[in-house]
Amino acid sequence: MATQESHDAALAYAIYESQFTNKNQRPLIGSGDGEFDAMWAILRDALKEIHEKNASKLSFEQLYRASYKIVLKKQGDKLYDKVKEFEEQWFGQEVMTAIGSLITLNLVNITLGVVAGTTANERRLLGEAFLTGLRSSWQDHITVMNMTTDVLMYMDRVYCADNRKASIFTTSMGLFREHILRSTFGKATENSGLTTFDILNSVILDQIGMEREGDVINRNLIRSNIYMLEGLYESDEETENEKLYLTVFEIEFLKASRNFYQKECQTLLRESDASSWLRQTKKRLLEEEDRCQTTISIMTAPKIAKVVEEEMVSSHLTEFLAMEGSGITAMIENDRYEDLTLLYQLISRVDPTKNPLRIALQARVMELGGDINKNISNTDLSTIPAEEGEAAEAEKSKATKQTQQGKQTAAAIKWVDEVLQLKDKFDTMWRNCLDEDLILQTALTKSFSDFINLFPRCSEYVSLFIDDNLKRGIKGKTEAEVDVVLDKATTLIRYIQDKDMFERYYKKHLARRLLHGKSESADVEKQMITRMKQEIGNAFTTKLEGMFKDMSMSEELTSGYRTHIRNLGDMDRKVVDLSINVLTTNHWPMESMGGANARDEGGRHNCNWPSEINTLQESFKAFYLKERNGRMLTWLGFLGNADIRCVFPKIPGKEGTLGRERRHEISVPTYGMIILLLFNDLENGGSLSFEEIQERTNIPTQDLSRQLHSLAVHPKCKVLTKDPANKDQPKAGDKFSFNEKFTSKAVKIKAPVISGSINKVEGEEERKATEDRNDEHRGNVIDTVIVRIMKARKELTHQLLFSEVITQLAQRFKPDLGMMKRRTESLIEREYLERVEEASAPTYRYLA
Amino acid sequence: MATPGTPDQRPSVTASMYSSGKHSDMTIICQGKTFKVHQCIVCLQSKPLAAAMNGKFKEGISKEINLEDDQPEIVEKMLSYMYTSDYSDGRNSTTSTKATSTTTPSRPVSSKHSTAASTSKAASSNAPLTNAQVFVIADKYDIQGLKALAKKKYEEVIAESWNCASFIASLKLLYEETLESGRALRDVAAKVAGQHAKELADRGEFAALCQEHGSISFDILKSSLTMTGPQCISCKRFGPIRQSIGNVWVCDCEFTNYY
Repeated sequence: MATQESHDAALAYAIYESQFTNKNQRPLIGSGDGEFDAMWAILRDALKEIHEKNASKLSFEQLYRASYKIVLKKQGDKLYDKVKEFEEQWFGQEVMTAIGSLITLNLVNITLGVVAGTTANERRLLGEAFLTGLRSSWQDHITVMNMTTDVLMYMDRVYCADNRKASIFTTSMGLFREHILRSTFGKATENSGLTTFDILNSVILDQIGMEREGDVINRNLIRSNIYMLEGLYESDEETENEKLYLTVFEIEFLKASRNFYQKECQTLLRESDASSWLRQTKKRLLEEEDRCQTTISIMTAPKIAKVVEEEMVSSHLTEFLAMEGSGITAMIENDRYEDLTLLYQLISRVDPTKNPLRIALQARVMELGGDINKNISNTDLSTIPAEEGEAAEAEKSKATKQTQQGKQTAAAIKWVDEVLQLKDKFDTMWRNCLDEDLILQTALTKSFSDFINLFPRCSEYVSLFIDDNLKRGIKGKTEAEVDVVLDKATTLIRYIQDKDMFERYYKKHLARRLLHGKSESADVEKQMITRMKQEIGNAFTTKLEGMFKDMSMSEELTSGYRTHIRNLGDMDRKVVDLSINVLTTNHWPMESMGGANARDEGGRHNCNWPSEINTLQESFKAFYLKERNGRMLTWLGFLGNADIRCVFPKIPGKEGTLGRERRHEISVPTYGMIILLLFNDLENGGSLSFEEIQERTNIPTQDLSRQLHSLAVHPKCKVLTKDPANKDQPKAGDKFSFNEKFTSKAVKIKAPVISGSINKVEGEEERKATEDRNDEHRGNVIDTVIVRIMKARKELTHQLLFSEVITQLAQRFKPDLGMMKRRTESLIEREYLERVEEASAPTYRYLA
Repeated sequence: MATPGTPDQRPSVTASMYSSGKHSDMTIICQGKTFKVHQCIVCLQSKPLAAAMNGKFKEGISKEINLEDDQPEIVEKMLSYMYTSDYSDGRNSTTSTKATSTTTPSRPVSSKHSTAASTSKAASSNAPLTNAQVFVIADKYDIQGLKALAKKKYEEVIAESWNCASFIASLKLLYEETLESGRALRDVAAKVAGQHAKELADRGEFAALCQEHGSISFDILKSSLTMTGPQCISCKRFGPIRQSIGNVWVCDCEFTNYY
C-alpha cells in the first residue's frame, strides 16, 4: 500500500505540474525534465512491481497516462532508453542469478562431452531442472513484457513507429537473447566460453537422445523451450527465417540426428536383417514426425525426415536389398507383403524413380519366368527324343504319341497357367504393396513381355490356352468369371511380340472351333475378338471377323437351301440333309486346316464324290450361284462330317444282340462317309483293298489311312474289318470288308476323332512348317513395308530405312535383321530399289 | 455510420445498449461521471482500453477504469462514437454525415449532472475545440475511426467558424496535446489560420498564442506563403484562376455550380 500511495502522490504532482504549465503557457519543448523524472519514477516502480508479479494493485490508466504524457512531451526516447536500461539491469541481477544457479559443473561437463560418472537418469534430472528454470524465466519474461508493452502502448505506437525503433517488446526479446542465452558463464567455465544457449542445445539434444533410446522424457518441457527459440530472432528485425530455432538449434539437431542414424544404420546392417531394418526405419520416421509435432517444431519435420531417409534408407539400400534370406528376393519369394509395402514406401521417399526396387523386381520376374520356361522345355526335351528313339515299336509309339500330344497340350496350358499365376502374384503385390505404382507397372510389364517372348512357342501356347478356355474352360462360368478369363487372355496377348505368329495360330484354332462346332459360346468368341481389336488393332481382327461372318452366312445359306429344296417338291429323290459352310478362301487358314498333306497337294485336292453326294453338290451349286454369279465353289472333303444310318443284318444262328437287326446312326468325317458308301455297292462278304479304296475315292494316303484306322481298327466304331486283323495303321495291301457282326450299345455312334480336328500342340515338323509359312508371310510383309516407305521417301539411308521398318512393324512382330537384309537385296534384284553409289552412308533409292 | 438504404437494426441496437446500460460489464468513471459500457464494444475499438481490461492490473480485476485526466463530455462523445459511429459536436447544421444524428443518445444514463444544455450558438462557437478534443482522445486511446471522423468534422466546422475563441483554443490544444507525427489536424488548422491570418491577427488571444508557440506561428506562416495569386471565391484555393467576374475570382472547382 505504501508504494501505491506514493505513486498517487507523484502522479498528482505531475498532473498539477502539467496544468500549471498550461496555465502559464510555458513552452512545452525542451522543458519538463522534472516532470519526466516524476513520471518515470512512477513507471519504474510499476515495472518493478510488474516484474515481481505484483501488478494487481497498479492502475493501468495511471501508467498508460504517464507514458502517454511523456511521449506527448517528446520524451519518448528517454523513456525508451530508461525501460531498456531497466530490463538489462533486471536480467543481470535477477534472471541470470537464477539461471546461473541451475548450471552446475556436471551440466557443463555434459555439454562439453566430458561425461564422467553421470548416469542417464542423473543427466535427465539435471537437464530437466535446467529446462524448467529456463522455461519459467522465459514465461515470466513474456508475461512481464506483455504487460509492459500494454502500459507503454502509446510509446510503441507513436514513438517507436515514428522513429523506426523496434517495439519495446522486440527490444526486450533481443535483451533476453543477449543477456540470457548468449551470456557466457563466469564461474565454472571461464575458458570454455560456453553460453546458456550451448548448454540449452546440448541438454535438449541429450534428452532427445534419451528418448530415442527408449526413455520417457518431458516433451512439454522441451516444447516450451523450443517455443522460446521460435520466438527469438537473430536480430531485432525479426525476419521469419532468422529465428534462433532455425539458425542455431535446428542445425545442431540435424547434425546430432545424422550422427545418431548413421550409427544406428551401421548397427542394423551388422546385426539385423532387412525386415527389422525396414521396421526400424519406419518406426524412426514416425518417431521423428511425432517428435516434430510434440517436442520440437513442425518446421523441422521435412528436414529431419530427409536426414533419416538419407542415413537409414539411401546410404545402405543396396546392401539391405541384397541380404540373404531377408532381402528383396526373399520378400518376393515368401510373399512378405508387409516388408514389401514398407520397402516400397521407403524407397519412394528417397528415389522417385524407385530404381533399386524396379531392378530387383524385374530380375525376379525374369528369374521366375525363366524357371517356368525351363520346366516346359525340359518336359518337351525329355519326351520327344525318347519317342523318336523307339520308332521301331510302331504301335506303342503311336499310342504314346497320342497321349504325348495330349500331355504337351496340357503342358502348354500349364505353362500359360503358370505365367498367369506369376502375373497374379506380381499383380497382387503391385496392388497391395506397391501402391499401384505406374513406373513399376511398366517395368513389370516389360519383364513379363521379355521372358514370355524368350519362350519360342508363346504365341502357340497362348492361343491354345484361349482355345482350351473357349472350348471347355468357360462352361458353367458366370459372366464375371468369363470376363476374368478373357482379361487374362488379353493380358497375355499384350505381352506377345510376334503378333503375326499369334494371329496365325489363333486363326487355325478358331477355324477348328468353328467348323467342328467346338466353340462353347459365340458370344464369348466375339468378346474375345473385340478385346483383341482394342488391344492390337483392326487389321489384326478383320480376317477373324470374316470367319465369323462366313459362319453366319453359311447358316442362312443352309436354311435358304432347305426351303429351296422343300419348294421344289422333289420328294422322291433320296433326301440328303445338307448343312453347309461356305468359307471365303482369304479368311481361313486353309493350309493349316487340311491335315498334314494338304499343303503338299496344294490344298485343292479333289476326291471322288459318290453319286448321291454329287447330285447334292450340283443342286447346291445351282442354288448358290443363282444369286452369286462368277464364284467358284471348291468342296473340301477333309472338313465336315456326315451322319450315316447303317443297318446291320441279323446274323442267322446267333442269339442276343447279334440275332437281331441293328440300326445305328454313325457320325463320321466326310472322308469316312465316302469310304463307307463304297461298301454299299459291294455284295455280301466282299472286300476292298486299300489301293482299290484309294483309287475309287482319291483320298490322300495319309487321310485314308487315318480314316480306315478309326473305322476298322478302333473298337468303338469298328464297322469295317481289316485283313490282316491287327492294330497296325492301315496301309497299302490291307483289305477291308463290312463288319456284319458290329454291335454297340449306343444307337448313335460318333467315330473317334482322328487327329486334325482337335487343337493340340504342334509337333516339331508341324511347328517348323508353321514357322516357315510365317517367315514367308513376314518376308512379303517386309517387302510391302519397304516399298511403301521408299515410295514415299525416294531416297533413304540403310539405317533410317531399317529403323522405320521396325517401327512400322512393331505392332505385328519384331523383324529379323537378316531377313530384312535379304528382302532388301531381293528388292534390288527385282529392280524396285537401287543402291546410291556416291553416298557416304549406305543409301537406297526407289526406282519408279 | 449506418449504411443508408439497408434495414439494418444494428446501429439502433447498439445505441440502445448504450442508452440503457443493460448487460454492461465495464465501467468508465470520469470525474464523477459513471458510464456503464460493454467490453465487447469498447475493447474491440480501443487497444489501450482493451489492455486495461484484459491485463493483470487493477482495472482488469475490477473491470472499472478511471479516466481521471479526461473530460467527461469528451469521453461521452468517444463512447457515442463507439456505439453509434457518430457523435455530436454541438452544431445544429445538418450535413450529410449527420444521417444518424437523430439516433445519437445525448447523454449517459447515470449522469446526474445536466451537461451544459447549450444554445445552438454557444455550441456552434465551441465546436472547433470539441472536435479537436475528440481528436486528441481518439489518438490517446487509439481509435482510428474516431480520429478520421473528428478530423472531418473539424474541417467542416472551421471552414465557417474560424473567427472565434474556440478555434484559437483548438489550435493551442493541437499544438500541445498532439505530436508532430499526427499532424493531420494541425495542418488543417494551420491552413485555415493562414487563410484568415489577417483577421485573426486582430484577436488578442491569437496573437498571444502565436507569441508563445513559435511552431504555431511558423506553420501558419508556411501555409500562408503557399497562398499566392488571387483566391477562388468558391473553394478558397489560391492558384490558377479560370475566370474573373467583376472582382470575384473562380477556379475550376465549382465554377459551374457557382452560377
